[in-house]
Amino acid sequence: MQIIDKHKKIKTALLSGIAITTLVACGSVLADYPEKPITLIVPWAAGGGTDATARTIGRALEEQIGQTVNVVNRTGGSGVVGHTAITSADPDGYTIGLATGEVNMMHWLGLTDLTYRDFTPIAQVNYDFPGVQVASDAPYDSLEELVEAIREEPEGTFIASGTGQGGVWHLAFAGFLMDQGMEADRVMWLPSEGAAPAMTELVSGGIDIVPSSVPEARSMMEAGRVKSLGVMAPERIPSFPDVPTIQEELGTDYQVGEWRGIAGPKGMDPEIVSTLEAALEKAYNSDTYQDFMYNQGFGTEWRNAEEFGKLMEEMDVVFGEIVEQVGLAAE
Amino acid sequence: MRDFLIGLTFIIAGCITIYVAQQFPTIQSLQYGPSLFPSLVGGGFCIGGLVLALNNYRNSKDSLQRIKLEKNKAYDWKSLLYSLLPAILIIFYILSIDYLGSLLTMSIMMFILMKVRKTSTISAISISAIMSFTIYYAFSQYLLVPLPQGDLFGEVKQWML
Amino acid sequence: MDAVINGVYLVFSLEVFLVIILSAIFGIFVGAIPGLTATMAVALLVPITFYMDPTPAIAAIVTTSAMAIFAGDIPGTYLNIPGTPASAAYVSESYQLAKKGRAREALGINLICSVFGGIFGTIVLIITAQSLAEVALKFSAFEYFWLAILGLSCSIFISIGSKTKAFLSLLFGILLSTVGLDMMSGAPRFTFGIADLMGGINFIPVMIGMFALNELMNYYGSSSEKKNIAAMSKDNVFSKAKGHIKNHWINMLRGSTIGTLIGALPGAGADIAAWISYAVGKSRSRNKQEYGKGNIEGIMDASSANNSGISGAWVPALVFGIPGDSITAIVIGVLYMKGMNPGPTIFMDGSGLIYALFIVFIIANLMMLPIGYIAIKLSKIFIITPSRVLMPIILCFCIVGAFAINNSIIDIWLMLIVGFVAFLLVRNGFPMAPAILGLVLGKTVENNFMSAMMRTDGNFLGFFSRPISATLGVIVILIWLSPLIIKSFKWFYNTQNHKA
Repeated sequence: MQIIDKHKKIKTALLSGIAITTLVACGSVLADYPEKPITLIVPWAAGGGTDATARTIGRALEEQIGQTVNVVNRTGGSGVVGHTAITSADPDGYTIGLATGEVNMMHWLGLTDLTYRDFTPIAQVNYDFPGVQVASDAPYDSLEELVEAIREEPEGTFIASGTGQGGVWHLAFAGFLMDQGMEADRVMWLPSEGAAPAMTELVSGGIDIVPSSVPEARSMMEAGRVKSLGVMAPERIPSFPDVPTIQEELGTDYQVGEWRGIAGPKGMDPEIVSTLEAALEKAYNSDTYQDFMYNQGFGTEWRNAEEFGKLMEEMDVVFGEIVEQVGLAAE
Repeated sequence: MRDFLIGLTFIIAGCITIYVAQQFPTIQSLQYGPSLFPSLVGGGFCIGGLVLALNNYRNSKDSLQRIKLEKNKAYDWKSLLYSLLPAILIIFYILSIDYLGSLLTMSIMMFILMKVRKTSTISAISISAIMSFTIYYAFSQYLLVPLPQGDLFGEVKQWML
Repeated sequence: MDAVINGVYLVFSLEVFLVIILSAIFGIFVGAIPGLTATMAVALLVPITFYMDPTPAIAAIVTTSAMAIFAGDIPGTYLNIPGTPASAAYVSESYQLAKKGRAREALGINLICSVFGGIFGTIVLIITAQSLAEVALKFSAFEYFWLAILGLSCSIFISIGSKTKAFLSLLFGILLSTVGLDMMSGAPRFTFGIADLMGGINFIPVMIGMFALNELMNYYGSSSEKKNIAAMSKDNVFSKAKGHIKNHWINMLRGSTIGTLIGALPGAGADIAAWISYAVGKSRSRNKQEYGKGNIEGIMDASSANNSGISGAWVPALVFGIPGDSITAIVIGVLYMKGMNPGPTIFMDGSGLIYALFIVFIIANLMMLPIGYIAIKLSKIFIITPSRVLMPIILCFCIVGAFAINNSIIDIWLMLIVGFVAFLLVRNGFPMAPAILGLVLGKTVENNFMSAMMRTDGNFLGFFSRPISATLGVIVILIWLSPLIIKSFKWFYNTQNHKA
């Protein structure tokens, strides 16, 4: 008896499932987007900063559009894998992704043919600026002293680390050196798998500088092992009020960082884009998102679809130049 | 004899590895390029393969008899073919999920495999249906793994309308 | 003291206990299914923990990972399919025992050692987290290089059969580890233009291919329906455990100590720990000959090291926010998400979260005893289900398991190709366990070597210029030379005798 009941249940469940999906499927494509769950691809690993950002904005977006947002991690290859997955999806608005600044670097490094032109920008939701971290027993108390020391000592005396060869912090720091009138490769770059292993190397004395984002140095700073001499941002980060900007320290306007924003594959319907853009703006301003980002020390910055597209275009030129100067450009 | 051939295979694989590794770009600032480790592995393949082949060659004189025995065993091609069955079904899965969907593909695979081992048709059908439904449902609903639904499902939906 | 009391309050709520029980069951299920692994269980939990409070979220992950790692040894014992790279060290021991009808005895002692190792590691963590972390910070690229080499060497020296074949198998694993973007130069290697390969090869599809698919192919290749494993009515989960513990408690203690210490090094982890502990156990044992043929001692050495290594990995994670393995990497992310920033302040902020965490560790490990016991009892299903029904189901789990780790079809291809190669190699007497370790540690060896060389400007002496590094280096060289030394010693001894 029970078995029959179970079978019946499965049958009814199946039938009703099919019925519901068919009902939904027959509506017009555009009229009431979104009508099914949206997949949000994250090119970085579960548990990391980008992943956390994506999940938070995803949750906030869910509240706005009334559809589930499934976060899917497609990791590896310095972001190539995930970004390729975003651009190769159907541009129907049901697969979008959290694109990151690597879009502006990968193709210069010759890792992929993918450029910002393969994306439909929707909205930028975050901007992280690199800080300049040194061990707390380092003899420099200000960024100026450090820059002077780099300038005076012979090339290759200083070693910096914090990401792979040609990663965002590498290029940002090389650009900073160029801005200070030095060669881009005056400080040797020791590639690492991320900011965390670089932090241990910094403390154990193997390297001198880690130009990662300031939140990535937080636990070591709280442990009193690492100090941040400055941040390459337009103004001080609210959760790190003691870290000066490089504008205050050196009077330079230089700023380059890691942007993160929601983007889809090329050729999305403008109506869908504007629906998403409006929902994302509300999601961005929600307490869920703002509180989380503040607590993490992550930078928040809003750009709508048009401005976000422009930013991608501008940064592409900037990073192209830096990659060229560092000597990593693909032929 | 077998070890001799395997040794040779490793030597060839080692040479190919070294050759491919030489094509990797080098960077000025590094002491050793990205080709160093793959080349070392390739070299290791060559050395290990050589040792394997030579040892086998040396031993083969004493073990001529064993080879005869091996030959007498007459390689069982049929069983080798059967052992490839899971591999072939995996290829079937990869090729057909986009159209048939994970659910249907898995039940077909399980059904075939059970029939190969002479399971009764009724239990083969019911077990493969129940198990593939359980796996599909658990993974796509609870663990949020995006198993493909399949185009066929959509077509059936359209057709039902 | 207030913090401790706060911690107790945080843990002893209905919600947390419910979460612990549910995740224990989840972990046992995922771990016990061939083709699904502990790392995957934890990765699958992340989206769910996102909606929980910090204490239950961490409790869920800790319990799930501990359970899944133990449960991974169940298919290991019955089907020769290991659940983690660490358990690949002793999977053949328990499989051999299962063949002799002692599966439950092996799993029972494994369970006890796992619980012992886990709790041992947690207690060490509570007492010495801060100072142990200080030591861990002294390790840099030079030391990690030697440590990884030490682990790789162990995998060859404990293998039975042809050492040449073990060596080639190890190289095969290392070769797989070089696929993807090279960290140092950023150059893609062996990717053949496939974007999905740029991220490198994950060990999970490889492990499924090497062990599970290989077993499947063997089964369909042989026409016999008879089970390899025997069931004996006398075989009891815990009845022989007392005797084993009495005779070999030293193995448990040694394994746990090695596990905790090596696990606490962020670049090493439980994988190296289990292999080294197994090798040390073998070299110190009176029954060396029995190792690899179903020896309970080997299981005790390695499984206690495995679980204590997991606890040890929390040391750098909690004190400095540096992940020791893939599981702690995920947990650090979750901790950050919950606004519970790892670092020394986590020990001082008075909220008691850290003590809640410690209590959860201990509860999770204790829970393993009853739930693990039930799981072992239920594992009879592997014996009573006819192979003709069991094997097709395993194949489906293998495919889904390989896919789920990255949601990528490439991983299924990878499992297939590696499985096919492994099938040919195993048939010709190649051990597969060294290949898994090679894949897991290959990157560690290469990246640390390269980054060390970059700093010393290509000077090899750098590897002997730091005290810890030099010590490790000498140990490795001695291990490699030991067969030669023993041989020449014997030769010398013999000629002396002849003269006399």
